[in-house]
Amino acid sequence: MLPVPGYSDVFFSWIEIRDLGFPLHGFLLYLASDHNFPEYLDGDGLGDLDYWTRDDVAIFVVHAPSSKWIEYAREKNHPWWTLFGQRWSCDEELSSLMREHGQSDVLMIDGHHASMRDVFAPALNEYQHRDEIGGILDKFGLAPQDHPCLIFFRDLADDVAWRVSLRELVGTKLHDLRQALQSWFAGDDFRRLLKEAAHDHARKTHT
Amino acid sequence: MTGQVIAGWISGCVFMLIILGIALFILLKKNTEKISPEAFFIFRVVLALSGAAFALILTGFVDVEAKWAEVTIRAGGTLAVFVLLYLFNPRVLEQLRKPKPGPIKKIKVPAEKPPQ
Repeated sequence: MLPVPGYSDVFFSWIEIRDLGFPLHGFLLYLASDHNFPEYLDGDGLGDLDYWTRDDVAIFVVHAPSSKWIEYAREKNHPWWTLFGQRWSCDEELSSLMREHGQSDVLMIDGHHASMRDVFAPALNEYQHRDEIGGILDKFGLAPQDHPCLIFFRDLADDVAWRVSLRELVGTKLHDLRQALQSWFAGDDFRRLLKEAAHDHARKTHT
Repeated sequence: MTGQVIAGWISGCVFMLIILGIALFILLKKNTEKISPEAFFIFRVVLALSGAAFALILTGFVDVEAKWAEVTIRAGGTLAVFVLLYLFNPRVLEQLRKPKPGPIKKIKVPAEKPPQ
């Protein structure tokens, strides 16, 4: 799972991303209004999807990662950290401050405590987010209404990709959304897609 | 056997054969597309009528109290069987009705444009 600020970040880092050797890549696209996708990704979503797809597919998601994710990726030397992480948290002084005092509560809004990590988490506003999603849908020749969806591809230069509509999942409860995605990534459709991608990859490298 | 019981037996059998015929047709056609809500409503009504008609020939008394769309329904006898069959969802159906991601569709990607 690779949270990115936008498509251009993937485009300009493509050679490094390709060298990571994932047989398949993908985009998880949703708008801020596609509830409960943003809510799920803000919570356990990034970790869940990363765990379910770790070695099989690099999924990019236009999402500002939480400082908890940044810290996790840094500690585990996750591919995301080497590719994008340092750009999200390039300030070494701030990083060390987070390591030492990240858990300290600094704000209380409507009874909810916000730690220093929450306050300094990178942000991407909903309009920028919508534009980025629109740009990616357009790149894959999809209509602006074709969200939320998963798009899979082997290489950015390929002229073939696969799309899975997630429209039915909009408005479902967080628990049901998580269960639906977990079942899908453990299911036959995803396995078949991986097999097809691996087969094509092997054929390409052979020729 | 009274005329009412005979009528119940016959109409129960007719409705049951109808629903069985439709179910076999769907299974044999191997249509993976979802059944439309309109068709589902019709199946449900026919099944409930079939069950209620059969209940006419059963002895004993059934009393059902169900809450549906903020309305409490209380029914007895054959009407209770109708309400029960119409409102009750088996667990397997609930699982099937859970939303899931759509099928994988291959798409043709237009030629690359430089990012804006």
